[in-house]
Amino acid sequence: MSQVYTDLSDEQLIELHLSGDPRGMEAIYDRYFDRIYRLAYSKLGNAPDAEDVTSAVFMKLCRSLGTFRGDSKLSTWIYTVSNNAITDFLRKKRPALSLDADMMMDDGDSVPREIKDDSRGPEELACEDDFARYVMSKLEGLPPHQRTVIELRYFMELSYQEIADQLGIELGTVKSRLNRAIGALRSMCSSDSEVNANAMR
Amino acid sequence: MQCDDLGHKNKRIDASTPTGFSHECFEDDATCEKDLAIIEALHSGIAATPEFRASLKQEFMAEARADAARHAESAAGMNKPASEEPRKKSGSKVRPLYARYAAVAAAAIVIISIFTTNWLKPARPDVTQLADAPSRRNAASIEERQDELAYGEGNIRGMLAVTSDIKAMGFAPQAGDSAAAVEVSLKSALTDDSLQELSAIANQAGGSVALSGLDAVASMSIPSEVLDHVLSNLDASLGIVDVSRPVEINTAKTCITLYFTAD
Repeated sequence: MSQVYTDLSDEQLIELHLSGDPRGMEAIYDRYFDRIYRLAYSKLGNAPDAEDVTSAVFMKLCRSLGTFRGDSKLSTWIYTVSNNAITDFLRKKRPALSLDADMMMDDGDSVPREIKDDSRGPEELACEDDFARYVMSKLEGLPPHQRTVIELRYFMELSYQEIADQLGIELGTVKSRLNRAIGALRSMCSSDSEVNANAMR
Repeated sequence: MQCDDLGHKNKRIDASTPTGFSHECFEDDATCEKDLAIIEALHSGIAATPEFRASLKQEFMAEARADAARHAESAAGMNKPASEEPRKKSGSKVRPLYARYAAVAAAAIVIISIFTTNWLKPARPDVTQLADAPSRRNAASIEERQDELAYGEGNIRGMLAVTSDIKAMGFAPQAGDSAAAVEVSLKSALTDDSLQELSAIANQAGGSVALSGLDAVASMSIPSEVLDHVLSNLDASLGIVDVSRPVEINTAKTCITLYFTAD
């Protein structure tokens, strides 16, 4: 991709695409691929699901870019589309049968369902050297408003001002929420380290 | 040492990650290092496999090329190259929603006005019904007259009252009616002389005269355009007591029913 295209704004790239130049879309892909993938991974927790959602978002992006009205920035529009795609994915993937429900036997009796939890616990995750995956797994413990600013800032790479505009809050509020969110993540990581240290003794 | 709005008591450390994310840390240096590591992990720690990235890009670009070609064709079809008409910032919008609503509303108004005009217009009378309207009028008046005569009255006033009622019932001629009905009461009695006068007037007007079969009643058919001329001739030669005629005559022929004075 030429430097010329990477320097263009989102609006200019869309304009290029709508005028028949596919390189506009290529630049948009290169710009947003990692952002969408990170967001999907943070919410789905594994690469195959994140890939599915990323594919869905880009296909929708291609089909819907003609209807993009420019009322908001492309980055916030993509953020919304991505979140919708993630929600849809989770809804479709959710099993119809609750794993918490009792299992019905042929004779009409019901017995509690015993399913082994194969997911990795915080200790296992903390022991891994894959620190990024570990931090991602901690995002679920944040309050929604803190998680949102983390997503917008570090996944979607929006500026403080863009986040403030998107969420309709003050610039200072954005900064304080980010600081508190990072602090909360740090605390969660530290407490896990202590748990591991105690377990090692 | 400083105390900021958020209640932090330690000095602020402005740091940034290798990928350029700045971070304001209000704790000690070690804590700040941890924060930067977390930020770096969030931003750069997770990456898709190059294979997936490349395959999705290939698929995406195939769609994008097709879509771009469609836009190019569309622009060419409108005879406005996109390069000559750059979109403004707000102009990057496709046609605004309110414009679509306005177009739909305008179309609805046109359609409604067309149908309303047709719906509110009085239904065109059935030609076949109107074709025999005069005969029905005549039949009604004759029937009434027979009733009157049966009582032995038989005076003209009574008959004229009947014809007035009939007219009030809505027998005014309409377009397409074969003949308008005009009723004339004459001072003269029905004699050979008066009948000859009548025939002469009818012939002069290009019409004809016929006896109805009832006593003292005849009918004359004339072109409508000479009706006034015929009526003035009738008044001059036979004397007219009363004329009952539609407000407007819009038929080619007019049928005049003549009531002579009873002997």
